[in-house]
Amino acid sequence: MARVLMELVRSLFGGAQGDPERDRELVLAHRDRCLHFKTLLSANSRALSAMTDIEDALDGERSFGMPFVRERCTTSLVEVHRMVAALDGLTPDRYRELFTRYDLVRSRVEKALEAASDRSTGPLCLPFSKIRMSHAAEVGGKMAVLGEAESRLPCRTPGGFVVTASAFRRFVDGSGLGAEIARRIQAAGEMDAEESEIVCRGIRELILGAELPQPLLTALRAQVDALVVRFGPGVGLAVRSSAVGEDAAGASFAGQFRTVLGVLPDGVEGAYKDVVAALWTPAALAYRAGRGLLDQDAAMCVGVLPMIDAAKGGVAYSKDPLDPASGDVLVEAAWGLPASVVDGSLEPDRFRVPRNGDGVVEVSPGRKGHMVVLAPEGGVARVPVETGRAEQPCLTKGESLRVAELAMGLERLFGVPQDVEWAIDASGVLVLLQSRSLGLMESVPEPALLDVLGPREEGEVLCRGGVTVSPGGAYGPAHVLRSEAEADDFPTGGVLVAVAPEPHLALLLPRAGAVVTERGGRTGHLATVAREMGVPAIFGLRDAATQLQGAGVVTVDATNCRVWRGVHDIPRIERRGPGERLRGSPVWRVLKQAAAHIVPLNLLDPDAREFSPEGCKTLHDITRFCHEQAVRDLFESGSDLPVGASRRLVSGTRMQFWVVDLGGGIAAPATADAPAAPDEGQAAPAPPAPTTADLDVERIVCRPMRALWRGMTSVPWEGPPAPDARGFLSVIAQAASNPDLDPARASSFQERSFFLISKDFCSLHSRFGFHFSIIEALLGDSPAESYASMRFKGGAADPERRARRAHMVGEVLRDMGFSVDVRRDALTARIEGVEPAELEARLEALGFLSLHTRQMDMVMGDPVRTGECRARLLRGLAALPGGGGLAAPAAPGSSGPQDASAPTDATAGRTTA
Amino acid sequence: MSRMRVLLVDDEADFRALLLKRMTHRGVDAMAVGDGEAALAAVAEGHFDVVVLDVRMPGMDGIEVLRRLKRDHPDVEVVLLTGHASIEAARTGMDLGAFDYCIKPVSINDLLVTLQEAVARRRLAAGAE
Repeated sequence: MARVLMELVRSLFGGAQGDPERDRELVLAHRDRCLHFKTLLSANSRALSAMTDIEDALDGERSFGMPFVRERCTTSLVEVHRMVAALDGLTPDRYRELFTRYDLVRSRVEKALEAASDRSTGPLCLPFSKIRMSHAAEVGGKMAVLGEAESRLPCRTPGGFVVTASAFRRFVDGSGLGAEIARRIQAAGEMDAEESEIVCRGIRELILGAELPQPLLTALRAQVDALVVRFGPGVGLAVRSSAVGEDAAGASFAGQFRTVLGVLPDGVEGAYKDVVAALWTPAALAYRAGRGLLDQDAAMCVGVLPMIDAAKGGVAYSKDPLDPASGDVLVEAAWGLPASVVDGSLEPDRFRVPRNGDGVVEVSPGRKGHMVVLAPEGGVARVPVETGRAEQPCLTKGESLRVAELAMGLERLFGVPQDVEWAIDASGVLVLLQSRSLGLMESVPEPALLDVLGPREEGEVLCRGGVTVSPGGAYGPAHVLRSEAEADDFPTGGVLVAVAPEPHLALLLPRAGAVVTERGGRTGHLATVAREMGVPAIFGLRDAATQLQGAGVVTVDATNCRVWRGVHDIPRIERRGPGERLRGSPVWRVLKQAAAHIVPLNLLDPDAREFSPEGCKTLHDITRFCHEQAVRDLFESGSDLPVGASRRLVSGTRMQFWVVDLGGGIAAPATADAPAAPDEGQAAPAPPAPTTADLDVERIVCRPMRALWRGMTSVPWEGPPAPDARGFLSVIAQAASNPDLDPARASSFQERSFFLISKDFCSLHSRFGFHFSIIEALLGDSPAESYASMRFKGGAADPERRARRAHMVGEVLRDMGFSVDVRRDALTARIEGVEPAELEARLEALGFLSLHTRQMDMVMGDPVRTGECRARLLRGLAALPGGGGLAAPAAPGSSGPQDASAPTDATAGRTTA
Repeated sequence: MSRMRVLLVDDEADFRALLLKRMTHRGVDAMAVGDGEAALAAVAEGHFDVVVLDVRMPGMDGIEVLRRLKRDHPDVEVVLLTGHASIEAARTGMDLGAFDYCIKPVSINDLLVTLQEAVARRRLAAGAE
């Protein structure tokens, strides 16, 4: 807009020297450039943030799926394009080559995202007589096992056929269903339970309403007809899912199985769609997300098997899941179909059969008040069992031995303990219905955290007890979930704390660092999924929700059933990031390939010859180049402007800070008081014509910058780790130029610290050595239009110390009402919706923290020093004019200086006393 | 200055409802419509600061809506929000004056940041006229 106006002005007046119109034109040009610059900075920040997320994901610091991969990669592309365009606006036509380089990198990233998938086409249906283990990719593990068992063991299976993975792909891809499903899932992104249910329901309706392709219909009907010929027109069929997409042993595919029992021949098509649709349930999505499986690779094979008219049935474990070492086989049985045993609706008979076959079977009769039988009209029915039989063992000793033998045979055949579903029909024939590997709790002895830390820190244990559901350790902010609605706010990497291990919590596991519940034991859906995903978990820890409410960052040692306050080194327990289990998975590999063209930084030295558009090999390179050139352009005096767009801040002495005014942020030199700024919509008066490259801090009228500056200057630096005892202002003045602190080359303009301001907006980009931070704030007249945010990353110390500092600062900010996200050494904090006066107090705090936390990472070697640092920060914050925002009502439990020695850090109190 | 007013335009009812719920939950004054014509009518009547616009919609697509919005109401900022990660669409959109191009899924936090930036920029740019 300003550019158009400027051109209009030029064409009318010719731009004569000394002309007031010419001055106005220059001012407009300045503002135009500033807007380009601001766009570039905001795009820079987002691009780098996306790249950091990508790096974190690859390093196992977060869990992710393809929506994340596509979104972060495309965002990197979009934001870098914004930067290239903004730089072209600042320096028209100077770096045209950048557009070419950008297009080249873009095409490489896009190619990497088109992950190749197996799209081989096999038969649409396969009868069981032809199925072997080698068909697993076409018929799914469950059905392949049945085919293999029947061909290799003396056992019977129901027979029937499988609708293959090829048929599934034909159905889903052929009709455009797949594209629509992918679009809906991409659009929904990270979903809470309710949203996931809504999206999944929509997808399932889509599938149920779709037509099966003609070739599939033909093949399906031919197979069903063959069954009718063999078993009669009234044959009842079981239609069962058998998922593909995972080759690792022990995958339970929890939550994505569906079985429709008692289907009549006419109903097979409908039941097939019904079973296929079960791939899209909240639990199934969460499961795939947790294991890094590509949705596009998920395929549902569907078995169609004649139902067995079972006199009795049940399950068998070839090893006792709770005591595998005993070697006993466990058999559970009830009258009728095994469904009543599987769904846990009654107490079955239990038979413990020793492996050595000496014939001593331990029997515990159950109470089998009902049984599930085939209904004559199709489907199944639950009918009562006559009183005499309910408590009478339903298997003879011989039958229990045959079932146990079958289970052991299957274990030998497949090499791992098996969980077997079986039935015995009216004529006494034992039929294998299903067999899968049995997830056993491996008892891996791990060293106690206590041994590592020593007894000194015992006082820091917040709670202990319960049972190890999934071993390992992790730290993160404790988040107590008391209702499903609160799941929305659950932070990535957080410690999930709940009263009961409800199944819906499984949806949060991909994001959780660890899980702690007050109730529950080792079995159950949540326990299974936690183990499978490798999320450390303690269940049955009494009063955990109460103890951990508001506890901040805690360390969970699930192996030893302890929860500690704060961040602890877990050197001898493998610390697993929430996404560690994804390493090497299909989704991870796609991201890895794309990241090769996004993340690496090759342009390090701005003085090197390679520092050019031609030298840009990755998006990060382009980002670096654009940023450097844009800042350089702004800091070097523009030839067509009275002075360079930036001015150096002076507060008694010249500071290592520069100021770029976007308009309205600086008062005229002669006036000490700020003139009332015009309302939006009125013609703005031209800012004072800059006459010097220096700017006295007193002339700043930008409210948020003034608040930040107060925070930076009104509390003196409190001893070490300050380098020496010089005056505080000199520390600021030195910080950016001290070669010890600033490893970057002096020639790099990226290293400059600067404020970008207007009347009510301010962003501060600062860099002290390896410590980099951006603070941004809009301070309007009402809470609705005001916000403040801080991003900071880096440090000079080792990663563990930097992470500790980030968590510590995060806690302090959280107490002020900020919503905080900490990942490794990177912190993002944001606050909005508070009164402008309160926001000013928080800006002071941010200003204070941006200076006083640098170098702190270097001394944060242990919890004691961390506590000292925290106490020091709290003292400083309390001394700020606005109390650092800690006294505000939004910060319960944190009020003023006494907090510095509050028992939140017992060790801090000890050492400072 | 008044509270930020946001118009959401998306043909997908579920997504619209979710986003509206989250925005309202976060205290944003938001309204939602399901197609391009309704969006143009709403902007002509109401005083919106920012329009969050889906790119692919049946009927008038998002790019055309953007074109007309920028022609008739140049002071309204437009943020494109789409499930299709298309760089070409992003480039066209930005060339037509969209403030940003966001890809679903977008966290409500990030979207709010973008909207606030758009409003801040609008205010700064308005000062130049």
